[in-house]
Amino acid sequence: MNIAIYLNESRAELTRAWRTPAFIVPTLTLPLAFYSLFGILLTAPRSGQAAYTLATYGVFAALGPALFGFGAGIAADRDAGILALKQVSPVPVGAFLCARLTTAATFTMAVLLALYALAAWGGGVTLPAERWLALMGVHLVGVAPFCLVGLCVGLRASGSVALALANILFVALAVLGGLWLPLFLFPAWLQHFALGLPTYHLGALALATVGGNFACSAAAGAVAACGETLPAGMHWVFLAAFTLALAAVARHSWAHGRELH
Amino acid sequence: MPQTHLRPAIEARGLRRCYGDVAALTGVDLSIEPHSITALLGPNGAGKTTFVNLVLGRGRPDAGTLRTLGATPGSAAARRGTGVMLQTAALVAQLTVREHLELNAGYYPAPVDIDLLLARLGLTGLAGRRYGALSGGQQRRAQLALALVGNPALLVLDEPTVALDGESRRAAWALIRERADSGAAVLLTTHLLDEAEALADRIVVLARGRLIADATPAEIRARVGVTAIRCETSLTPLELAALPGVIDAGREEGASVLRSRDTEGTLRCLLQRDLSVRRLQVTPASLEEALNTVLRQQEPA
Repeated sequence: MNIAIYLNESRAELTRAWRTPAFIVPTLTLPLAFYSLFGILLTAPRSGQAAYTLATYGVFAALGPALFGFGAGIAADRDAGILALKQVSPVPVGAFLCARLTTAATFTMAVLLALYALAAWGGGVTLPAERWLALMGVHLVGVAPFCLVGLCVGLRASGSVALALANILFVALAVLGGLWLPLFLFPAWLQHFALGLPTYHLGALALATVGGNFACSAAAGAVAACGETLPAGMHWVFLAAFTLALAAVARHSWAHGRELH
Repeated sequence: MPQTHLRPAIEARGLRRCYGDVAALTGVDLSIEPHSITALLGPNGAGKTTFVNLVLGRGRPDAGTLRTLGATPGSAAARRGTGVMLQTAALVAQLTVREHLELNAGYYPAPVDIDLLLARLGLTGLAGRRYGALSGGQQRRAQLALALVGNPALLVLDEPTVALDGESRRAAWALIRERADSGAAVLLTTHLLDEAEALADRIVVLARGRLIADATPAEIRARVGVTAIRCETSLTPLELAALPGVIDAGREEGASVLRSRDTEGTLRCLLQRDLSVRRLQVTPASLEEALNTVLRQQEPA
């Protein structure tokens, strides 16, 4: 019976997101539009940039549904009184969060598939099948920490503040994590910020998955300073630590929010 | 009482809750039994919302004990047996009425038949409509359906029939009454005294965080002991006000209306003074008058 609640809750949340064009249109189109521009149109053919940007824009694609679905979405639900009714209903907290996570992951997967198709046919990126799968795995891993960032924002801030915060975090995590432009284009002091951002570590893991030794990447002397040469294990350790820390904050915020409202 | 062997659905002992320096509840003892409808009344700021929130686990008492269905308020066990309608709540706009009901029914061990419930609340034709496209009254009915769909042992209804028209209100009352008759404990807050009068077996009045009255609607009316006397008479309001026991007198729609705290004395004198009195009506004080009197008696001198 418990599993049925999880499934029903996830289906309802997916239905709801699917019926909300203001959520799906930007979520689906933004990463694809950016990738078409910076990964395909503005790059030299066969330079490897289409693959490089595929790795980082895939991380970017996971960021939107997580921050806006969780962050702004939960705050808006609380302001409307939807969350209050959920919290006093018998639905387990886990089912509620699982439904949101499933929704963010499903939309992320849809964007990723479109992004990969665009990269393969429009950008000429060729990867062995197992590399495509590994890349999908790395990109989807990002959904968890990003959703937790969104959850912490959504539980702590009111609707309009949460939307503004989600937008700021969306851009900051993308830019400073090196998702839009390669990090080596930034001054060295700015590159150090990236070490504290989950977007950077996921981007590095994704880059390693697609190959990593591109001309543009090798040319980056400064990158070594901010850890592009870190072993993959360190990136995973950071992501795990970041995710656990945020989960603890979110747990506390949830209990806090139940009492306040 | 035949149900005394049953465990109370809500059991509060010495319940205190403060917000900063302000005490919202100061030592409330209250048990809500199964098979009954209890209306929680009181002016704004009396502590009604605080009490309801504590019962639902939205906040913890600062002192005293509180059990909801024998469990910690807000725990999974308590929530599985509780159906809730909150005044300021909303449902997801993009889901239909039926989708909402099916989702909520799935949370409970023994839900009711959804089609039957829809029909009883006049929502059958709206089942496929998205919640966001419903009118205010229709949304309230959908929320009531959501509270009832799980067939819970405890119903907590915050202003359940605000924004409902007369017919919907009576349908809602009938449904709530049936739930209580088949064993549920119902706790409702309301500003509508006709609702409390028509529905409640018991009225609990809170004022400034304290329980100041706990009785049946009839007992509360009787406690005040004021009656309204209506008649057509040749006496002026001034003469009427001078009759024994009369508190005040006035005119309403061509008839004289006086309030008396000594019904028999007033009537005896009235009939002696004016032999032509017609259309005489004597009614007990309304619940509203009675409550106002109870509340006035509590005010600091």
